[in-house]
Amino acid sequence: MSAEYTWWFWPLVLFVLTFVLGILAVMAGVGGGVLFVPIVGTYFPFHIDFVRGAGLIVALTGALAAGPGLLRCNLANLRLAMPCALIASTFAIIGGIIGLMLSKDYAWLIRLLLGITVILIAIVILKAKRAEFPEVKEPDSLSKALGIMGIYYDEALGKEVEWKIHRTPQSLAIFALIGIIAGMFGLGAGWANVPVLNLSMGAPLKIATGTSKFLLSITDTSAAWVYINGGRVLPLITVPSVLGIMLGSFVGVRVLAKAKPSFVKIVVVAMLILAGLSSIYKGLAQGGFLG
Amino acid sequence: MAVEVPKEQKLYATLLYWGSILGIVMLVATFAVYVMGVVPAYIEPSELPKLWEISIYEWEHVTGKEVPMGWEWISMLGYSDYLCYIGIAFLAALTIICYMAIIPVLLAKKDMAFAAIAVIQVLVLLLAMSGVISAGH
Repeated sequence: MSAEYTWWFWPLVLFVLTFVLGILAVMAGVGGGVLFVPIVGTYFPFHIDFVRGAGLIVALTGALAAGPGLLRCNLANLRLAMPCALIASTFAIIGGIIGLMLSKDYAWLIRLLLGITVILIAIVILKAKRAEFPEVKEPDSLSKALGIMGIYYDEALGKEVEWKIHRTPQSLAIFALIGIIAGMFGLGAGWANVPVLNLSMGAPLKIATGTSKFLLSITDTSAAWVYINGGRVLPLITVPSVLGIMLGSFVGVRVLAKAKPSFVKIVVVAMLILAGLSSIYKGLAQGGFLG
Repeated sequence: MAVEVPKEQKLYATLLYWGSILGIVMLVATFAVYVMGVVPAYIEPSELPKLWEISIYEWEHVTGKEVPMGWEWISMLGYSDYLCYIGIAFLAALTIICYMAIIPVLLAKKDMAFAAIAVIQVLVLLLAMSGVISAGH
């Protein structure tokens, strides 16, 4: 399919697509990585391993770029992020290894599982509730021992907000699962980090969102190395994607003020469901289940 | 209204900020060298459309060239496609640099639990970076 075009055709189309994805991702409040892998993996002629490798670098660079600003204004909290990141990044290595081992003989299974995962992610994005300031009556003993609590200045309220967390051990267990999914499919994990930090641990929504973005930079670092060392990161796919998403994100931030984010969110969810169904179909076809 | 940001968090943010800029600049510069053909590539971009569709395991058979794995790309930096790995690897190593920098700050504060978490995190990331436990060799 791709050999019909000159070599720069698909990278150029990729750059344009990722630019649009970057705009949509910012407006829908999701990471670029979660859109990148299902859409590029389904509609581009690239092997799924190279798409997952590029997806991790896309999610990683986006998180690295956002991290400093979030840390400086205390919206990403290092003390909250560090234990979660340790668990998620360790399990992301395991996820990456499982993903690459499976793709050697069972690439169809990876596509099938990716499709199912992406549809579940779309449902989470659409349905997951958010609590601006969850009630935490008593911090759990682990978070107390580690001193995971903080304070930030909320511009909308015009005052300082103190926060603490609970259910730390259970939430850390969920981060193990998030790490495996991130590594296995090359997906950013903001869609899962935010609900766990916000609804399970009880961090205020702004802290959960900021810390989630920063957390990705650590989780995806470990998985990215598995793909780099396995030769699955192709510069001709990765670099245009990174630049496209970054430029799109800059534009998205400016467009955000004038757009209707709820409509964009529905568009993004529809794109994910469509890409997920296509991925399931491709997986079943590759696996010989469709005759 | 200024809320005090812990010292280690400020240090991490500063390193991440400058490191990200440096990494992106390296990524763009080396990619420009690659696509403009300034330096020869190990696998020319024109060959890639027949390769990016297939698994890495089939590349050697199609190209007749050995595909570098793990850190072997270091010895291939004379080729423009592997030159691009400098920026990619730097960005993927940035978190390790940031963590290593905050360990002395945490130790100085006698924050032993978080110093220990940071040390273990560095070890985990170095393990991933080393290629010892990579799949697909």
